Amino acid sequence: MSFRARHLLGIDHLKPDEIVSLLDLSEDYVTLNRRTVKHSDALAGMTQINMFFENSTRTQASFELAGKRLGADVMNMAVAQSSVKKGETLIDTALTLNAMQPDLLVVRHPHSGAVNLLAEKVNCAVINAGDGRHEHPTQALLDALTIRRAKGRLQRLTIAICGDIAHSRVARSNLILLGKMENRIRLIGPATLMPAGVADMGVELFEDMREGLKGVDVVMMLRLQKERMDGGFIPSEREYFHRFGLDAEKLALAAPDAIVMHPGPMNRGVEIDGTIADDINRSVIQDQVEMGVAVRMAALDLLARNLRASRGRTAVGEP
Amino acid sequence: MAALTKAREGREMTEIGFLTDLGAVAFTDGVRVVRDTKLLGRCMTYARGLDALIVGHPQDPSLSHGAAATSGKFASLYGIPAVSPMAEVMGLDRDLALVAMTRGRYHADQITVAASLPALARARDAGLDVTAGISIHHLTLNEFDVGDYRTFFRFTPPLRSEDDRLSMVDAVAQGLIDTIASFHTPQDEESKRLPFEAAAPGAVGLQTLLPAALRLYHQGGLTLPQLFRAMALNPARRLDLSAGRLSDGAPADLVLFDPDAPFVLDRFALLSKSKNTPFDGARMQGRVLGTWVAGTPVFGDHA
Ligand SMILES: NC(=O)OP(=O)(O)O
Repeated sequence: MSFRARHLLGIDHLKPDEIVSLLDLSEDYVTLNRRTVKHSDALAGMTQINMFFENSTRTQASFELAGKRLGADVMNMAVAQSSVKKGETLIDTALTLNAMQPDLLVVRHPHSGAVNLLAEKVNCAVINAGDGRHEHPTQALLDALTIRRAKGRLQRLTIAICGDIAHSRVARSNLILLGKMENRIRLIGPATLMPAGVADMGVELFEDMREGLKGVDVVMMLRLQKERMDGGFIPSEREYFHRFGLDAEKLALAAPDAIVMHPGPMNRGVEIDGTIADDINRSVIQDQVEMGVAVRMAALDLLARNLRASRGRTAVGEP
Repeated sequence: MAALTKAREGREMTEIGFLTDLGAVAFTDGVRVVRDTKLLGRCMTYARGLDALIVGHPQDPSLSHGAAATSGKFASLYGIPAVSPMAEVMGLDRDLALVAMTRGRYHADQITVAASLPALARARDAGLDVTAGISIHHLTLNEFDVGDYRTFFRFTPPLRSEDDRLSMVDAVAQGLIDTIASFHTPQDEESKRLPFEAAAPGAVGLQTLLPAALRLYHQGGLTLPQLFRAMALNPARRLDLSAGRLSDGAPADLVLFDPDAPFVLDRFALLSKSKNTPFDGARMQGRVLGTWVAGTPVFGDHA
């Protein structure tokens, strides 16, 4: 295994071979997860704490399931949104948890960089489950696994990422991962939802969705992040759906075998037509959820191996 | 300096007359922009009658609200809320239009982007009584120094691109930017041990002002006389203080320094109670050997 990192904070610091070994191990866990008995003992005896300072459905559930299937003791810390206002809570909570000797800490936080900050203060391995608008590495990995399985490869594909790029950590992590794997990336959306400086990131920009979707292999839709918007970015959801919502007519411009992805949760009728999302011939949205559990098992497993190896080097008398 | 509006709330002007009588040399709400343009215009008009200087913070407040970085590739990749350099240009344009309207005396506290310079030059050419300053941090650091969310590099306004930094050094050399200041902003450790966008902005700067400024001298960007003008002569002149020059009757406020003496800065060795400096661990050159206030030695071997 070439994955050597202590934490998984972002895609940015992963090398292509590390990404590939993570995905390869994830395949084993896809197989395991399809069995009736889904247990392994990769994390037996270890403690995993999920600390979510921001709402989550699928990420938190899949990390919980992943930890349990690997035999860890999993605890979910419900951290109230209101108590997060003061950042002291973050470091204090981290130190408190650290004192309970967890081995793996899964963290989501509304501020970019917050998980990096926390990782500096604890002795265990930390996984970023989404920090502000920065990164959401396991989402990009599960997307990559989904693409690789559907397309048979993760290189030389033309991939359109559509919608609210500016507020999306999913877009950032995917941009970085898919770029490292040498794909052609198109960003589609209104200019108000494009982050500054994207033109220098080796991507093609489109404000006309029909133009941008022409011939693409993968259509990755993003959720319109209403909760991160502090002003008018679009005139109305109606107009947004008309110009940037994925419907059958726009999808017909993509390659005939193009797949449709969405990280969830979806705003049906805002960024995606419900019938497209449910079309089992085009949509891999449910596969993404399935891959999410497997990828998180692989990430937990690899970090646990690295943790054991580092403790083996430093700790004396460990059984 | 005294507040420009009561409680710096931007609603009513302070008693500029009384405060001037008591020794206030300038009026400012600091980094809180007076949003009400009519009120700021009245402050300028009223202050003009007293020859009082108004120090503004050129920034469009609705654009810069919540921003912790300058917009661009760096801020986008790190997901930090950011503001366009144009917010400074807009704030400056408004303030300068008010100066043209009222003929008041005005100093822009920090001009940090090249795009602001043409407006500043035009105001000077038009004979308006306008000066401008910059912080030592914007002259010596750039946006990439933030690195992995290092909160000691969070400033208001945020650090700029390297191109802008170089333009600002040049603007000081040309005399278009008049003053360099420390913008000494102590923050306790807790206010900086937060996620970047939630951390308090600012750095301590008094003790590092000279060695940081001497970086510009050692790199060849500015000469010692240019630094002297921007750090001593011009600020004293603008505030009508008799300091900042050597002449008959002027107070003997002096500093003796070795511009070459090298050292590595240790933030815990700073005399300030707060240790939030961006120069921790930095190799610097320039040591103060002695300081005199009104002829009396207060620091160094002579004290
Ligand atoms: N994709 C994703 O992060 O979903 P949740 O917010 O439900 O975890």
